[in-house]
Amino acid sequence: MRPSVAMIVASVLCIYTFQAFAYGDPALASPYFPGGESPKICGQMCIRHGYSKKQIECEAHCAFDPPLDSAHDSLEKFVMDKIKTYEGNIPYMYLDVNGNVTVGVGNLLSTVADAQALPFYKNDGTAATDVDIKKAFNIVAGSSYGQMVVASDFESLTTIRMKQDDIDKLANNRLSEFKKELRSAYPNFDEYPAKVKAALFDMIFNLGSKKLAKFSKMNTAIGVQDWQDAAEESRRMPPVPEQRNDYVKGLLEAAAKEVLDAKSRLSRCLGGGSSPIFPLSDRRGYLPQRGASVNGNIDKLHVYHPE
Amino acid sequence: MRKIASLLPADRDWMIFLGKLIKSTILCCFCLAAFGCNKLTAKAVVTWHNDYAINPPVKSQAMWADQLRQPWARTPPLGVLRIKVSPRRVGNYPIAHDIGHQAENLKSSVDTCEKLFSANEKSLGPVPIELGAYQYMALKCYIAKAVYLAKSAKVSYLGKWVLNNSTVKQLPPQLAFVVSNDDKSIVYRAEAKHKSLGSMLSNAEITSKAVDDNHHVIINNGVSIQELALVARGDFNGDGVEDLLVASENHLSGGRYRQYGLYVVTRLKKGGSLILAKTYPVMTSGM
Repeated sequence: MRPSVAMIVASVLCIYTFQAFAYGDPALASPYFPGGESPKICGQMCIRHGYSKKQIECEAHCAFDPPLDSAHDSLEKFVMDKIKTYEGNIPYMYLDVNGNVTVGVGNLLSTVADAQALPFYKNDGTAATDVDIKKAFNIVAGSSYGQMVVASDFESLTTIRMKQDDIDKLANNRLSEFKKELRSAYPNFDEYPAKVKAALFDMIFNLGSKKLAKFSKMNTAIGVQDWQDAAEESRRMPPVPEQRNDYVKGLLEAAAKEVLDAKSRLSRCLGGGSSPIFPLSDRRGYLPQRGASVNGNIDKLHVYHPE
Repeated sequence: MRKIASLLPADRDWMIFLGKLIKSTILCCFCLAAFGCNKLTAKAVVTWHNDYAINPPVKSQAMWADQLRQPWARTPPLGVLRIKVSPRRVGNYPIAHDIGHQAENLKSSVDTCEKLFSANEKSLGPVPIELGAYQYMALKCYIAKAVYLAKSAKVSYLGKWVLNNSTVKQLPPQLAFVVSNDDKSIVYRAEAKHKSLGSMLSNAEITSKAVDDNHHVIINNGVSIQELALVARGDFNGDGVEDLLVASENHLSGGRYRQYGLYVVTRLKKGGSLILAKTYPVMTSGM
């Protein structure tokens, strides 16, 4: 499709407006765009839709995805820290609760070959040979303690170890695999707020993709981006610690609240008054699709969620 | 009548006869009390499989008490299993990284069933990575306690019930593997309609753990894998009726989730359905 002259002009104006908005005009500065992402985001929005200045300003004030917390600068790091807490971060091979040989952040080693594909090191810092790895694998796999073991029991049984950098790489690879599965299960996954993504990462790691797909009520809520209902339906039965359930529920509830707040800001901005256009009792955690107008017919606005 | 009369003593020996009768009765009662012979009057004594004994074999019911006291010994090179425990809730942090705080507050370790029960009472629990082992030991401990405290049943409606590929379907629906609210709703519906576990296993593959095994089955529906074991028989809830003690070990395909359960199942009339009589708090241990 060839862009019309009007669209090009609108886009240029739009980008110009946003450069001013993001950098030049303190009155328009938004606290909701950490880093320098706002010009890029808003520029993309302008090019796609050719909004009026007012609309773009209003959206810029409502459409944001705040960082997960101050200690992590990316979703992956946040998720990884949490999973390390729950699933462990073990540099030597051990038997997990299901009797599988495991290493690192819950990384299953089904065969000797799986273990030999990983970089293990001996005490003196030299790389472990395939023979060393096979020996260690067989010691762990052949231990006859059933489930009467904890990971630390295996520290003294083998001498080869993985380095933390390699464990992290391995764990990140697993996260990437989970991400693919999540994208397959939730077609709009990439548009979800980071908190929702973090919650789903925790659940898929713990339950596997097949069982996560069976959380019908939660998945229905996620399908319509109703984060509050998803939070209610996210609970896993014991022995998942209540703290872990609270963590996931808290993430989803926080996402729902942030969207509500964003709706409220957008309503005030577009309506020009203090009373929100969206009723606060509407607890659905999604913003309507793009297509908002100043008269309050706001039913099509997406939130942009940077990774 | 003549025969009976001939067995009775002559008139002069009546006093001697009565004396002997009283002595014999007292001796018999003493014998019954001392050697547990009172069980002979019961319909069904307590029986068990050793699969879940911490230090098998357990040859007498009294030995289950030792299981509760003994350290969780393992064969060399590993020594006694010790699981660190700490207060279960350090604080209320809905999103914050609170779990790591537990490790900083470790108070003690658990290496016997008695200590595990005590830890549960004090709301102590393991760090997340050791939760699996803790839950597994909790299952074993609750089994030991249940079998030790079980009574011989006065009456039984279970006949020679064994757990196999077909009888597993008769178990009550509450024994199903429940992970989500959706699963819970399915169980409630089955319960309300007086259906059995079998009504929920339509697409599942059911196998015995071993050939000729009559107390252990595995149910696999491709998503969840549930292992059910008939651990013991006896009266576990004190109503005089024989019960089944059934353990479950459940896990998910492709996930790290693992769940344990221990249930008392019974039948209260001849030909009646199997019903859930009691659930042990295995899964809440360490929460």
